Amino acid sequence: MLTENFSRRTFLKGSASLSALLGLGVATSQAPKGLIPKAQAKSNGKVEQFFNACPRNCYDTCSIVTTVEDGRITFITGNEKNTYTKGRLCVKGNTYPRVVYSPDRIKYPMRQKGRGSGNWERISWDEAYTIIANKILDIKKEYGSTLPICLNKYSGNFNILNYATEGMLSSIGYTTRAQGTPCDPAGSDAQGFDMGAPYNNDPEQFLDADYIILWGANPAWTSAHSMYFIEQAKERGTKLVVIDPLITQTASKADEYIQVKASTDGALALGMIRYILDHQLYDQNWVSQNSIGFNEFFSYVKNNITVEWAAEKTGVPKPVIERIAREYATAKPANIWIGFGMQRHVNGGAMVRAIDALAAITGNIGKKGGGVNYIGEETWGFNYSTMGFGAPEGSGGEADRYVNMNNFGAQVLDANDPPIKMMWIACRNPMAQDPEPTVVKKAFDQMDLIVTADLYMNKTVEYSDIVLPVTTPFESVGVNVSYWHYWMNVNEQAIKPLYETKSDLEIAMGLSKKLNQLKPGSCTFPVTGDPLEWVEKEMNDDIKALFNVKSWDDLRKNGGTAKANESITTAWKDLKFRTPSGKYEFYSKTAAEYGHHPLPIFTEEYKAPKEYPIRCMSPHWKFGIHSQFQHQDWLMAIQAHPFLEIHPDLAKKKSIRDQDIVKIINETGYMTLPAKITKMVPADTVVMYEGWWKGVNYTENFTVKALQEDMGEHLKGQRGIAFHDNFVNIEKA
Amino acid sequence: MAKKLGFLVNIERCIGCHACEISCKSFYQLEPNMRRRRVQELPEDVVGTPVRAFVSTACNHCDDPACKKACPVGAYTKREDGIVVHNQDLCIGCQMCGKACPYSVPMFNPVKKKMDKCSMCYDRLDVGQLPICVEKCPLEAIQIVDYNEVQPANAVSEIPTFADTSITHPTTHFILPKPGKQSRRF
Amino acid sequence: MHDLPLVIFTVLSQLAIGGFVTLWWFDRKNKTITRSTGLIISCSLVVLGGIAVLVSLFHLGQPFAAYRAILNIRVSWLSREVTFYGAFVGLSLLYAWFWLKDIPARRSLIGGIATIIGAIAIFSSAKIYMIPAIPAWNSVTTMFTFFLTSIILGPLFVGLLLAIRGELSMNISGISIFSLITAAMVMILYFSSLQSGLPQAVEAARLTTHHFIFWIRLFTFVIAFAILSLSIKNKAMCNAKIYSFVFVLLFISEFLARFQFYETANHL
Ligand SMILES: Nc1nc2c(c(=O)[nH]1)N[C@H]1C(S)=C(S)[C@@H](COP(=O)(O)OP(=O)(O)OC[C@H]3O[C@@H](n4cnc5c(=O)[nH]c(N)nc54)[C@H](O)[C@@H]3O)O[C@H]1N2
Ligand SMILES: Nc1nc2c(c(=O)[nH]1)N[C@H]1C(S)=C(S)[C@@H](COP(=O)(O)OP(=O)(O)OC[C@H]3O[C@@H](n4cnc5c(=O)[nH]c(N)nc54)[C@H](O)[C@@H]3O)O[C@H]1N2
Ligand code: SF4
Ligand code: SF4
Ligand code: SF4
Ligand code: SF4
Ligand code: SF4
Ligand SMILES: [Mo]
Repeated sequence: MLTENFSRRTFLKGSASLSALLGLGVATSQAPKGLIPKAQAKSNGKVEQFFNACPRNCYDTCSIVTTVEDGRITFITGNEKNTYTKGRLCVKGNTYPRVVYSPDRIKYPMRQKGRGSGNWERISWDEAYTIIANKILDIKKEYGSTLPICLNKYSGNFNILNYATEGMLSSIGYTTRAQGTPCDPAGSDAQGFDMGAPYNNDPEQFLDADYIILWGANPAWTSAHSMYFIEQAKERGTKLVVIDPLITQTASKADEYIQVKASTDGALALGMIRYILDHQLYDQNWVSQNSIGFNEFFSYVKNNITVEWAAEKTGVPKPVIERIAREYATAKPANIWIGFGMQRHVNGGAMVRAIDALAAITGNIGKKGGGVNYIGEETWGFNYSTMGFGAPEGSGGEADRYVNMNNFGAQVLDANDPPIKMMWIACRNPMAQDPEPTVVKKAFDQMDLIVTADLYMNKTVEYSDIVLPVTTPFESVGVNVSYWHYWMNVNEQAIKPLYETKSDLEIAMGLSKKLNQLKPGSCTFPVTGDPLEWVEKEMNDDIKALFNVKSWDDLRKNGGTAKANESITTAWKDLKFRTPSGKYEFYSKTAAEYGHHPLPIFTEEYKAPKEYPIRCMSPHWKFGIHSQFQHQDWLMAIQAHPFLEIHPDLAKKKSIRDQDIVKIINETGYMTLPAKITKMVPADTVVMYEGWWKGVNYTENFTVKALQEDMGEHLKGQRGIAFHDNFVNIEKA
Repeated sequence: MAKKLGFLVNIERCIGCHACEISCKSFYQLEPNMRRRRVQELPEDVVGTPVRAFVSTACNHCDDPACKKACPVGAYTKREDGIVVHNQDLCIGCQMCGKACPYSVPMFNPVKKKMDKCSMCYDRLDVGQLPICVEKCPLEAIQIVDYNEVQPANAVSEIPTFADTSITHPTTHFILPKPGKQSRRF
Repeated sequence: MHDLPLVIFTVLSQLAIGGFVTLWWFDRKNKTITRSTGLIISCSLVVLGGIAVLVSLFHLGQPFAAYRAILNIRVSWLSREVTFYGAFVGLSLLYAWFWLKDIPARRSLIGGIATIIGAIAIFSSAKIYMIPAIPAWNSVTTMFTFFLTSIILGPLFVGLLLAIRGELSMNISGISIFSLITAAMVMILYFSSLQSGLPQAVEAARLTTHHFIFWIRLFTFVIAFAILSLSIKNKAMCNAKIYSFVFVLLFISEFLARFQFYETANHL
């Protein structure tokens, strides 16, 4: 009891008194301590298994098998039928039983008296819907439209049915939307300019590669299942090269690791290209048959790029550039995986275009086992039937209005005519994950009502007016595909929703019902419906043909997972690119239309300001997906607090010893955290891993400015954020 | 001849992900702080060039188990196949085995108030299944080997941080990583 | 901290055994102890020994299953400790019974057996901790310190009670000074062996000496030593007050030493 209350309190940053905590609808004393002993559950008999899908924003989108004994989950693991998941989950997936039965889950709808006060009071769903619906109707009356209502939803759950939240908002009228993605925008645009779309080979084809370059990707942490294929390939003799400013866990496994100066990868790729051109190692045939603009590009390279220059720029010795270039160009097929992390720079898009060009001139695009692999969306052709109801009659405004998700706070504050007054947040923790959280907070301060649907008391929920408790994947149904592999996974309901939790789809129906009660016709979203019918409606003929399944239910009965047929698993196999010319475009007019140079040229990196000379990178963390997982006690027992990785030389200069508390600071903010002295990071860079840590009142974004990437608006509507172009100073605290 | 089952931990493959540890915790529904398997960071320079290296260990099912000698109730038995089994029914929770084990393997279950340790999932092995941690490692970095049958080529029994093996003669063996080439700026 | 029951158990049990041997030896040698005094002292030793047993149960997750602890006597030193110490407490009760019945011959015989059993119990106790897994413990100094606790506290305790009863007829200070000098030597041996031992042992030494408890322990030890040295020559000082004071000082000293013994036990 005592310890639980205590941890709850630190969880809430001591903002609430104990008496306020007692009213809190978060599981405390009644919460399961540990889980029911297996033996006990077993003796009572009924053991069932269900298929689930891990819906996190993760390359691996695993197919899951959930064991349920007497209505309680006793084990969660991977589905063996899925040759990518291979019957196992990453560390995070293995914590799922704890995610479901966590003592920290939000149990009931709650209302907070005073944002950030911690003074939560339990309310009924009906009360919650009534407060929200009334606010929506009031706003519509006052402003003549629902545009003052803003939705911020992204990556907490990529179940196709979860688009119900978007559908619900569309069903009340035109609203304001946080648009874009923090993951991949610049790189996706780059591939869009070059090839018409980002499109990656099946990752199981790493086994077919003769040579693999992981370029700013850290699959050992961010895509563990891919790492298996890469290790397998390595053991069969494939050479693994990792290019990263950090000696990541992935780099630690490389046959050759190349420490590039951050944000100069464009120079590295172009230097390699120069060498390849000079030594006639490129695929003349491929280039002339499948591309346009190569002559312009080649002359750009010959006139502007030398290997010496590239070595100078990137910090990679000339002989290394030459050797890697030769090896890459002569290996068949050679596979490049460009990580999302690599492009989170002001020149991220340009860097990706240069790497694409390297793959193109060597003829590696369109080859099984080869490719320049970044992201893909070939399997996402569902009906999205939750989104198609349209605005009700008499909605003011003409269309939705967009703000950049990656600069959310500032753009919400900037939006006038009408201003934004209400926010619906789902599958998002902007207070932790967005740059400049102080600006986000300012935007929140301007709201009349903030509603957040979530499972845990995260930073954003802490600063909301109403929290709606949502289900885990195990308590709801759905279907999932990946932006990386080629499997489709069903998600069955394995257990009854705990407490009073509801799925986002049920919430959409519930709110619609209330709106129509209060003002008939004010919301077009259906007010009832069986989730099983909803999910079945997602399947269309194309999807069924692609995965060779008859229906969702058919798939559910037959192993819960299916792989797309071979027609799409090798990207650009037919060499028909989706560019205006139908060819690979070294010279992209579309790029020019968006204000970029038409060629994949070198663009300069962001330069450190004088006062803040140290780069602070915030890559993704192995025990978390952003705000998820890391805060579970199972993982806190392994690593309980954030830390800052510092090179011994830099530490020495600043008289910092291992475990000392360091302050990192720039004009945007500061934070203090323990130092971990390590050679894994370069001496001009410090690293802190991103995510939401329980009991810590800052996030890695406290010093991150909303500095834009160079690309993103073409395919993602908005540019991304250069998270890694964050410069700070550090001192011993 | 009797078997001598032991773990073979491939550090070359291991990515330090802790999936082995957590899948075991999940399967056996251990309390949040309990671990039958533990993943630990090795010194950065373990292979020469600096890398992030980890080692995953559980009970070492020693040839000469100190836990067994220490236990006042005789809760430990060593099976024919070498697995050191802890009988929780007998255990009185004195925690002496935890002290005596050079690898601090037995851990106290604060709810059951008894000791707990890795069983090499013998009940799974007995029906032809692999131990959970072996089966669930995303990198297939852990194996069960009968060391009376095979002596895997590059397997070693001692690595830095692993306590003196002459005390209990653990059966766990390791495959050390091969250093890769690195071109570093610092 | 969770080893506190063991700290209390080991100190009290060693005190009880040391006291018992003292009483038995005096009684045999001098035959001057009155029945009531013998009864009081022997009963107090039984009570101390019993408390030790009870406290030790707190260390168990399953105190009610403690009886099982004798099952593995063939290999486990802990089993042996439990068995022999249990037997010792039983015999000491019997010994007290023969005080009550005032049968010196039986008393002497039982006492002799109990003395041997008690010594084996202390020996077993020490052997439990002499394990390679904990380098700081894995040395004969553990054996020495366990017996020394017995020799430091036991005679003093009995001497103190005899002094209260006005029946003190021999030189307790002498025995105690001798044991304190030995203890000081063992302490030096202990720290020098830690320093030259495995890293965990070195760390144990550092943890021990870098904590204020160590200085309290040293301070109480030195004061007790000083007072006892003065009392050897000065008969007037051999009174109940002085002995109580010295006993309390040494009890604190031994208790803290044992506490640190457990707290600084770094595992391999
Ligand atoms: N465990 C875990 N898995 C995840 C996630 C998570 O949070 N945790 N998040 C998921 C999501 S949403 C995403 S977007 C993906 C991201 O997946 P990844 O792209 O694999 O991961 P990141 O950590 O963002 O960045 C990868 C690497 O880019 C490197 N990098 C940064 N700047 C440069 C540069 O200038 N040049 C080069 N060569 N490298 C650079 C970083 O050092 C880092 O090692 O992972 C997904 N998977
Ligand atoms: N400094 C720095 N910041 C970064 C990054 C970086 O590299 N560096 N990476 C960025 C990237 S790539 C991304 S993708 C973003 C991700 O940031 P977010 O989109 O905020 O992602 P998550 O933290 O995964 O999910 C947010 C919330 O969704 C909740 N959730 C889970 N399931 C459901 C559900 O079914 N319904 C509802 N309503 N909620 C649910 C979770 O509990 C969690 O609190 O972070 C970005 N932030
Ligand atoms: S987080 Fe990724 S790797 Fe882990 S279980 Fe989910 S989908 Fe699989
Ligand atoms: S699951 Fe496998 S790769 Fe991950 S830490 Fe354990 S042994 Fe290493
Ligand atoms: S590792 Fe420890 S617990 Fe396991 S058999 Fe050896 S001594 Fe016993
Ligand atoms: S804790 Fe249990 S298993 Fe361990 S020594 Fe004590 S009785 Fe034996
Ligand atoms: S063998 Fe079984 S009990 Fe032992 S660590 Fe692995 S999963 Fe856990
Ligand atoms: Mo992302």
